Amino acid sequence: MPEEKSRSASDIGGILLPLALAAGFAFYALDVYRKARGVTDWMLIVPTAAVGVLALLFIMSQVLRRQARKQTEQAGRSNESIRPALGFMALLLAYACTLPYIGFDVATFLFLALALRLQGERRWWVLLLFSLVVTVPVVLLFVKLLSVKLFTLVL
Amino acid sequence: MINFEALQSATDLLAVPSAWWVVPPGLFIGLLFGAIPGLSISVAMAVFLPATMYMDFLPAILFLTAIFTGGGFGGAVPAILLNIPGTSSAVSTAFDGYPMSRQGRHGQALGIGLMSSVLGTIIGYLLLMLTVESVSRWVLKLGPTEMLVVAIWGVTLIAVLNDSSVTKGISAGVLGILISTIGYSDAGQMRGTFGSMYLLDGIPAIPALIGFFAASELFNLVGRNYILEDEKLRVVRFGSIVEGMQMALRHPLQVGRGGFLGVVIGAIPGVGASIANLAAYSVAKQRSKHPEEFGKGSTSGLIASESANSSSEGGSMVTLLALGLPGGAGTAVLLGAFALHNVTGGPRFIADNTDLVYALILGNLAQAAMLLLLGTGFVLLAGFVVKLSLKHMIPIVMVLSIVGSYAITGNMVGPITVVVTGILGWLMRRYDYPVAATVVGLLVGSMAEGELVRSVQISGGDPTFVAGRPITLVLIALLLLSLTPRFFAYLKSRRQARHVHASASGS
Repeated sequence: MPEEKSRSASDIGGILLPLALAAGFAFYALDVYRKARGVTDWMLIVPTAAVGVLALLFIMSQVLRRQARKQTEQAGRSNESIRPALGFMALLLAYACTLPYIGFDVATFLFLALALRLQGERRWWVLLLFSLVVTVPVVLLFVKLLSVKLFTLVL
Repeated sequence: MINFEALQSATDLLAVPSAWWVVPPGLFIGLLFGAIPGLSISVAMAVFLPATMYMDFLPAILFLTAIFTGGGFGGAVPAILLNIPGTSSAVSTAFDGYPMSRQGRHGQALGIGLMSSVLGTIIGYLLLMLTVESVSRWVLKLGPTEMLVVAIWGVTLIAVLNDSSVTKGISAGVLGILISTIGYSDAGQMRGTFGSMYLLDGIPAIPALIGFFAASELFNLVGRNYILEDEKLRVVRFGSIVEGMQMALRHPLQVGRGGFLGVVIGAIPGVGASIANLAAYSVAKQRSKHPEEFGKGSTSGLIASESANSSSEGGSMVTLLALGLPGGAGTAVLLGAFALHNVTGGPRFIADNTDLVYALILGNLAQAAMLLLLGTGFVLLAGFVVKLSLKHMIPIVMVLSIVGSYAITGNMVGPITVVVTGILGWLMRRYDYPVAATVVGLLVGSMAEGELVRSVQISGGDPTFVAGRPITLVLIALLLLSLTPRFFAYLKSRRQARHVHASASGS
């Protein structure tokens, strides 16, 4: 049962991704066409988007046909848990967004500790030591040595 | 054949220490990323691309090609010790390298791999040196219509010649082209910015490249680890490495053939080292007097694979330098470095900067020699390197990607682009869309639009104008010709599927 659930989720993704891309292509092409002041503004975008939409519609039809034949889409990693990857994405997004507010040093330290925790590390001293040992040289390299203008809170 | 005046200037350009100090770290990074299963050459090049911002153009490219060269051999280490190719270019290395390890000949296998990689790299760049002058004269004849076809050809080949379906490749390529057009156009139109001032300059190409290549791959690796269980494989003796090197030197024909094939295949956009090693392996097997030994620890198989994947780098540089077209992920990052330094690859580049091109070639030849030294030391530690924990490497590489992208854009657009394109790339990889096609589309999209506009302006919008451009016609013919093998393969697979379906319903 869990495998079936995962496969059907994978099938839905196999349709949703091309659908979303096709909608994005079509929306973008229409927007550019509507606002264009001359043919040179859209002559690459509109035909290219049209080719993309057609290709994506073909992909969707293939996925649907396979489903009709009860052959589930063979997404390479369909049966693997995607939870760690999703957790990592959320963590990375939070890291990128908090950088300017809590400082590059603190954000990096927290990100490293939480990323390691997410991957199964339970020993608190390893989390702290690893985060510290990586954060300090990286901050020194970018902020002090390369003079990248990043806000830091502690270092 | 060789412009000796430019060659002399090239040696002057290289006579400064700043051109050299970047090479050993580059080689080491390449070896390390190549040797850790899961991480790849393109991930390494993408992550360290922002660092080149602080270098001059020549050291920047030498640094990245050093990663490229080091990674070319680094991928062979886990292929030989673990039967897990560190990179796609080392797939056939595992065919004979791993059986050699099972026979206790892992030191020899690593020595053969290292020497073949070094010789392959030398062959690749020597052939580039011999051809670059003639190629530069030829490419100057290309006008806007020809360059437009070249750009379309590049994206199409990358899109079509991949392991996924053709339609997925085309969609991925289209996505890249459309992303490249976001922001202010040359004609001053604002496109796809949603009114955000941050998008006026478009989606920054380098952070997008880092997201598509590095972040998306790292998301996939979260929670995985590869373990070298056999304790004996962790010990590599210096004597057996030297023995392996000598064995490779005793097979000059195999090295030469693999190297030549690698250059030719590497020069074709969309093909590169991943195909070069397999093609060279299969040719070596066909030509061998003992084909039965292949797959069981054949020295010739290992030599063919490693010499071809390393020489393909030189081949791909021909296309990159002459046409400004990346043949694969590695050269796509190099093109990104060109953009970062406001250098445009393409027809005028070689003609105007022949000395710089020769300096790159000479630098890479010297890199090959350095790889021999650094690689030997690395091989001695190989058993421990492949054991490095991905759990620790992934967050470190992620931090470098995010901060590196901030350093490039100077604002939060860079890091956000890495995250968004990383998630998009992860979804694409999950459903078998080739992200390399998206990146190539992203990098050549603006060139394609510029050439299209110029072509229309020159021709006055008359499509029959192309009929009077013989080179354009030849290029269109070549484009169509290069697509035919894939088309016939598709027809064949459909026929087979129909046959299977008919047999199943009959029974």
